[in-house]
Amino acid sequence: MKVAPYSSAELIRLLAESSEADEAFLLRKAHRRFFEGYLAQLGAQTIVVEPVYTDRDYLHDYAGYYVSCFHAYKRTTARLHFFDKAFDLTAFTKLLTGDLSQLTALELQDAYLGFIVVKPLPKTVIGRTCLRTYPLDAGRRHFPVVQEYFANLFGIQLKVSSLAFQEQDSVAAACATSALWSCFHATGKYFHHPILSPTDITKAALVSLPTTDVPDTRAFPNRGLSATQMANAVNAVGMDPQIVGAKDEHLVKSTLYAYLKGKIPVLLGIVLIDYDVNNVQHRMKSMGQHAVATAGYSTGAPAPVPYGAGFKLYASRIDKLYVHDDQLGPFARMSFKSLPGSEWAMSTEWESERGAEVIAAPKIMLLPLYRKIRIPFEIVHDTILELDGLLEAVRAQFFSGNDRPEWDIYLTTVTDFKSETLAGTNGLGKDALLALRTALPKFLWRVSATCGGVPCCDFLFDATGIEQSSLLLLAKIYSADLMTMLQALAANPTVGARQTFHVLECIAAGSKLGTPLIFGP
Amino acid sequence: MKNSTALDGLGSPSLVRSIAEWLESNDGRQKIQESLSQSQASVKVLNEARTVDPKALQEPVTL
Repeated sequence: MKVAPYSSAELIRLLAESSEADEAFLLRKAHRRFFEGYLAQLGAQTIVVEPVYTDRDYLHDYAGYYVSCFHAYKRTTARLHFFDKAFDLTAFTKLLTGDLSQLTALELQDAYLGFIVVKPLPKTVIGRTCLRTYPLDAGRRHFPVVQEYFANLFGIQLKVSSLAFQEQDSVAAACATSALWSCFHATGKYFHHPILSPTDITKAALVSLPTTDVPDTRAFPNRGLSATQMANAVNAVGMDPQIVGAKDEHLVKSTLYAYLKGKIPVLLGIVLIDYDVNNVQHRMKSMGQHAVATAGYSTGAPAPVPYGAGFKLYASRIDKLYVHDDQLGPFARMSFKSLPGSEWAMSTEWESERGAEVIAAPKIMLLPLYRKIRIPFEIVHDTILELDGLLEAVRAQFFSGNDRPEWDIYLTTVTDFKSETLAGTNGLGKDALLALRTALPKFLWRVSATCGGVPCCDFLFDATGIEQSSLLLLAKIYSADLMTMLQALAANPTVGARQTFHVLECIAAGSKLGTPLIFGP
Repeated sequence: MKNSTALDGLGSPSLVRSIAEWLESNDGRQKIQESLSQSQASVKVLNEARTVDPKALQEPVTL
């Protein structure tokens, strides 16, 4: 057991001491720079070393690969715990012996920033890492997929809210494996599926070898996975993989937001580009394809960015993603960035070999979905986009003094919806009792809108239904003007695509039918 | 329990009628048609962006 004041140099020394890597090599790693910055932001002051720790994931990889190497790699790891409170070995030892005069278990918990498991390997030493997120900054930052991780430190129970991260070891796992592993840590707890170790993920991804996808790849050592192989791994844990293109900025922001807020992490496939704006001949130099797990987002833009003919979506306020990038660390920042022309990309925390910057061009989004979530986001998004256009035509003519609605579309569950309803935080008011007593499906698409910052409507769509039927389950219209517009449109529902038509049809029939529930102001 | 989904007494019936009449007028139809065309154009762009080139699914992610 060791207790040391935190510093970047001390962290490197402890990582080297707990692994087979030397300090000079660790100092050159991008992880060193990342963790130095991240732990400084969290205000780390003390490190407690747990010198012998049996880590499930490393043990699986050890049994699957390292045990049969000629070199005798250790089967146990070390674990470094971080605290934002200064204390020394004497104070910590006193706590362990029941003397609370200098430090208490409660103080230790309050100061707990999380842990890094150190693998006893020569290069890829960052094992399972659960560190506290960035502060929420008054609601600007959101980390909906974090879980509670418990650590028992010499008998003291500690917990941290995080999403597990680890660096790829390039043997049992490639970057895509590490990103999938982080995603499974969220979905496994949320949807109750087994959380595979990196070795098992790689095996599941490469279920049909030989493959034409990555012809020079064997299962182990592993050089990389294709999107199809990643989808195989998602399928192996009983989830449905959905792959969506990521060429449009609005599409990326809206899709990531809708699923992340629904507690589903999205795996983002990107192309990394060394981007030198001053180099006219070789402005962009492709570095290769990479995969990261999205773990959070920042809604830092002060206003929504209108899309198409002026459609306002709350998700367009996203200015930054927080991703688990196995080549950097947890919650690495990627900001949306405009390039010359109408091009866009994302900035990264990677370092450029040319002294410029490394940007990312998103290519695909891989959604690990519970099988009952059958209605994709795009159905609801496109319905609301069309409905908004129809409402806008009427608003411009009759209610030009009103603001255009800003829509918020995301996945939720009946449990979350009813908990909010019971707590009285979703504005159903007098209609709450009926909404609580009504049977609803497990997964729902929630659509809320505000006009000038004031709630104007709330829709619930069935996320488990079939596209051909009406998916609207509940509509609560807060604004009398909006209800007037909807009723007028509903009186003439000869326009619009199928779901838009169903919405208007339901609102027109609201007074006659029990389902869906249509509540007025 | 009484089903309270009724919309009776909401908004202004005369305004609803006026808007409905405008929607059936040439001007209203044109505005609605323009709106629908714009929505369809946006959805078309999004659908293209959503589509993944099958070749891209086979490319290795190696970094």
